[in-house]
Amino acid sequence: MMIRPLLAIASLALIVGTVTYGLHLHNFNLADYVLPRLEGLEETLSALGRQGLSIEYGGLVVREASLDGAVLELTLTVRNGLPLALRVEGLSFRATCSDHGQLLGEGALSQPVEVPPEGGRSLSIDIHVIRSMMEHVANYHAYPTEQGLEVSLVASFSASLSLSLGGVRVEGESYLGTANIRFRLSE
Amino acid sequence: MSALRRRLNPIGLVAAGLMLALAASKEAPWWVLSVGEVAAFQVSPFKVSLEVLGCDVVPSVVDYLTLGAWLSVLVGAVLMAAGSLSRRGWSKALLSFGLSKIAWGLSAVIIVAALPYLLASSPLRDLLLSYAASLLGARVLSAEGPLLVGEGALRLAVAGLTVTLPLRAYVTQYFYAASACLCLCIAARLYQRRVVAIEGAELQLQEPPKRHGAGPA
Repeated sequence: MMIRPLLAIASLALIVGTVTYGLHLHNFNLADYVLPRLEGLEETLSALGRQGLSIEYGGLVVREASLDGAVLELTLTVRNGLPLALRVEGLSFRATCSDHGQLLGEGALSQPVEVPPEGGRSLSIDIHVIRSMMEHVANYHAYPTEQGLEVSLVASFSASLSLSLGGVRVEGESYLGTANIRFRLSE
Repeated sequence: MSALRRRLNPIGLVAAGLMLALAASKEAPWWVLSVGEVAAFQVSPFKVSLEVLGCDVVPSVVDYLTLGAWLSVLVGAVLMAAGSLSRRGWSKALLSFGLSKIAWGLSAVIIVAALPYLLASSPLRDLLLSYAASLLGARVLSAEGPLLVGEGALRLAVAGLTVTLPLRAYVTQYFYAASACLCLCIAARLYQRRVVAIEGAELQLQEPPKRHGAGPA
């Protein structure tokens, strides 16, 4: 029975033949032939690094302020330069007094926000300052003027972030920086 | 009609047709492992692709290996059909050839599909994952891989952030078709043994009886 060895040789020849033909098409450059093709991925990652993701500070507005409490509205712009949908699932802020380390207020995104691929979205987050924290503001950072009590302080912001990018979940905490806050306390 | 049925191996012909249909769907994956929408590893004996952010990173040699496997299955299907049309002894070898091609293809897919699970549960896990992650500047927090089908997750610590990569593995309809094809090939091979045995018995019956002791005086 010669047929079995012949079939085995034919089987081997099909695989070895095509692999050798491929090597010939690559001018017998073994490294080019067997190493992963990363050129396209490197270009994509480089482009992503340039366009990437960013969360930019848009401004801080004091909506209400009295000795009973205050509401600060923080505006942020999320830019998504990636070809994947971004979902900001959680974003919470803590504002502390830079001079004394006293917690001033906390706020969080009320509901998840979708940012389309290669798009942007503006977010606004209310930071609530409760009465006990306002006492610190009134005691250490307020000064009387003809119009009433003026407040001037430097607040430090830190954020806790949870987002989903193309199904990949990213969580972390980050120090965002400081902002000068000036407002007048109403009676 | 009965004589024709005895001469043919209908199971082998159906198996050959199914092998040809599988080969015709060259680009279709049999098993898929996805990492969210960021990466997808698609495997069949005829094509392997690992797409990361839309870029295929599989080395060229794999394309030619799978091309060889595709040609082998095509040849296997043709020989399976040819063997199914014959009652001669060598037809069994032709059917075995076709059977081996689909068996190798399916085994290769199952072995590749089991790798993430074996990697995630073996003692080498920490070593291999740590090496791979260190190349990306990351540290592995936990790894759980799916076995052929299912879900798992890889958690990494990167630059102060925790990144969770969801892993989802599943087989496609082509995997089931290939499994059915393998069963048909095995049945066809067993059937062919019977067909050839009947043919051999009929030939023996047709042979004239040998005369014993009858020679020139």
